[in-house]
Amino acid sequence: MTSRNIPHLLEPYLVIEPSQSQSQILLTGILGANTNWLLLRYLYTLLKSSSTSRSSLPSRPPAAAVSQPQGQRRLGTRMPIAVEPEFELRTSTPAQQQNGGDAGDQGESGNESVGVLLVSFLRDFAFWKESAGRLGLDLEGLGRRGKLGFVDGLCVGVGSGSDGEGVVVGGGGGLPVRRPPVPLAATGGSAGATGTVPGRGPPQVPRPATTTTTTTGGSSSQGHVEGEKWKRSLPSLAVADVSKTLHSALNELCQKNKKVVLVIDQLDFLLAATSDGNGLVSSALQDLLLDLREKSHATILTMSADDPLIASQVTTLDKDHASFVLSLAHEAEMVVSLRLLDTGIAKDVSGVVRITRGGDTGGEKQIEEKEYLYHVGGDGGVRVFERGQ
Amino acid sequence: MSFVKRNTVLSSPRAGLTPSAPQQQQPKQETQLAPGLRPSPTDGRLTTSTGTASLDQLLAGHGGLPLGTCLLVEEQGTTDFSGILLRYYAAEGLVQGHQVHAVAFPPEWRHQLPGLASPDKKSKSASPAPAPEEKMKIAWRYESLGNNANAGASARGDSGAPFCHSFDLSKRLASSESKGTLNPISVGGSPSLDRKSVGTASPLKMLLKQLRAKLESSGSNAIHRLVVPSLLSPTLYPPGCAQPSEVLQFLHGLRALLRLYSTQLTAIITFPTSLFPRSSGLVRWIEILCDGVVELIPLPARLGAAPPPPSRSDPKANEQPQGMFKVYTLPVYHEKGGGGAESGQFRENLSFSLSASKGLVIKPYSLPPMLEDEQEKPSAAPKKDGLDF
Repeated sequence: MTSRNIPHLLEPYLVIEPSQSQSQILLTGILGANTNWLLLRYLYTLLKSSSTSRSSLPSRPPAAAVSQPQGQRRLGTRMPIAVEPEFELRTSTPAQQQNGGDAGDQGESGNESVGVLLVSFLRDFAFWKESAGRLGLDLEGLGRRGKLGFVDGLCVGVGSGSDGEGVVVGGGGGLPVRRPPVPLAATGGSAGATGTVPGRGPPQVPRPATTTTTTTGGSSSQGHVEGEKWKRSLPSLAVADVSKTLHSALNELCQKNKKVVLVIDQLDFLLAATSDGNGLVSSALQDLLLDLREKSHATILTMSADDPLIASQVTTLDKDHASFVLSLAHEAEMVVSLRLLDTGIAKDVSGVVRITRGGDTGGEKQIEEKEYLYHVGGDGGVRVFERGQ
Repeated sequence: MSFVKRNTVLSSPRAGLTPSAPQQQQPKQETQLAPGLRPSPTDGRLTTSTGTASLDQLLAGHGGLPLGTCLLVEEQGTTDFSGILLRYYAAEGLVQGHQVHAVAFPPEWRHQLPGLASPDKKSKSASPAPAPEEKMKIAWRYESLGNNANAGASARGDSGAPFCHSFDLSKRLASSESKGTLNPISVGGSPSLDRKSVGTASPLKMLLKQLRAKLESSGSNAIHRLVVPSLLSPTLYPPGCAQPSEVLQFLHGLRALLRLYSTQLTAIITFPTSLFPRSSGLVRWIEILCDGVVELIPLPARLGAAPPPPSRSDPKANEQPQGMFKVYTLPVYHEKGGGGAESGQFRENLSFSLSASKGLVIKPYSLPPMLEDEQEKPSAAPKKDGLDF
């Protein structure tokens, strides 16, 4: 179970300690070795404690049980999937544990736990929900409880593509844009089929859930929007709009959580797709990031670091991208880069994960530089191991 | 107890332990699935055929192109093998009754689509299809392992209606055979005057808008296929499209549409890598934005070799590889992180060959036996001598 959710070797790198305030972690991937699984592990590590604190909140006893050995305390409260990793997470962060113990109240430590703002430019919420669900993380539930904010940077293209609707949608975000097709799909016979399919395999399971929830909410659309206010979508890809949306989403989360970790998936797309070659977008994005970092506890960014984008700086697109990613790497405390095997393709290895110190070494945490191999299983489980193991 | 456990862990829960339950479900499914759809044997998501059986088998064990994903087919050189792939994809859609949206093609393109292969062959391959369902399931499992020797049998859906038809390039698709509709979508109008009248609206965005309107106006059961031939080629697209902001936002919007209509839409895009080399950052971004990326690298025609299709009676001549087939990413599979699918077929060196009756056949590349070369050499040498004199 542990290896399935959080690989042992990566554990120390996934934890963001309280001392690392306003740190930045950069995850880079390339074509064929993207960062999705790694980002999911980060999300899991960040949100797991709050999702179990929910389960422990209704049952008050935990406050009394703080003094008990952890193994026992956990037994009653957590869900079966979360058992091992959660336990080890806690042990690996003694500092947090101490804080919770001093407070003497589990509920308070629950409040203190982090909120996460997930901004995704290339992937929709359904993907994150499905993948996180496989780890035992209920993003939908976390969102409703104010632990998670989601900004949809993918479906923005659709909104701006059909201008008229984009305007109508306006403040409500892309949700109305998002919703219509789903009930369409749900009403049809094909959805009935998907209903029967799930028995055949796990990944299908989360999908009918989305369709059912959306169809039930479809009739009373107003209430539905309010219920899912934590999901936003960008009005356009312009940096000003992005900035506005991100700031409001972040502010909202900050009100509910003491610490907010900002997670942006492939911000570099914005640079590539909207840049007009004069470097304005690049600097605007960097300013935006600085502003956001000031408000958030930590920032996790994923970027593409393919050779054509980093090494061969021929076109302005390449140059902008390279300078953007490199400058962020210099600001980062840690850089985790994924790539394919240099020696070719192997059946039991998906790629190489390399952890290096970033340019910002001011943090107290000593980062041990390592290089491991990883393998992603068909069920989404990840194995991380040393070469030769 | 052990029974329950297995169901949760296995990726294919129909392990045969409860033969009655799946059998009850399957007939329902058949009646509800739209024609040309089939749940993936690995995870149950719906897939549709690309019209090329061997390409279907390559797609990470899904046995088809998962709905809501797109495939980027790159091609080097001046050949048009990828165009053939597109024609099969469109023809398959038309025969299955899907709506095919062809970008930048004149309506006459319809008359270049390959026709259905002669029915006598079909009846032969149809006879093994109505085998008992147990056997069918076993065949499916092998298919997911990539071991299918008999493409004809596995290319059929459960319902007996073929999932992937066999086409004959020497024939033309008769209007009686095509149940679907072919909608040509023009890019900015073909004559240059038209483009000016369109004004500032970018042609690719207009294209997205049109596609979206079509998707919205059609019923929820309609299955759509988007055909985008040689993207960015200056013969088909206005020059402005090659701007990174144009094409990347287009693909981003397309990706959003694919996710929004994730049970209705698939797309295949072809891309000339001779015009836009893979080493440029723009192309890398295009690849990142597409779910699956494959590349066709035609081998140079052999000097002095006999013309490839000498006669139909010689099957070996048809099977000579005409090029290499490279797989960079696959839909769904690499989104998860890459790895784990049991079908590692795409990892091998692959070659393709084109024949009129079988279409494009992709198979593992193996060097031709030495014997032929040895025979050729002595025969060639005396000829040369003769020429010299």
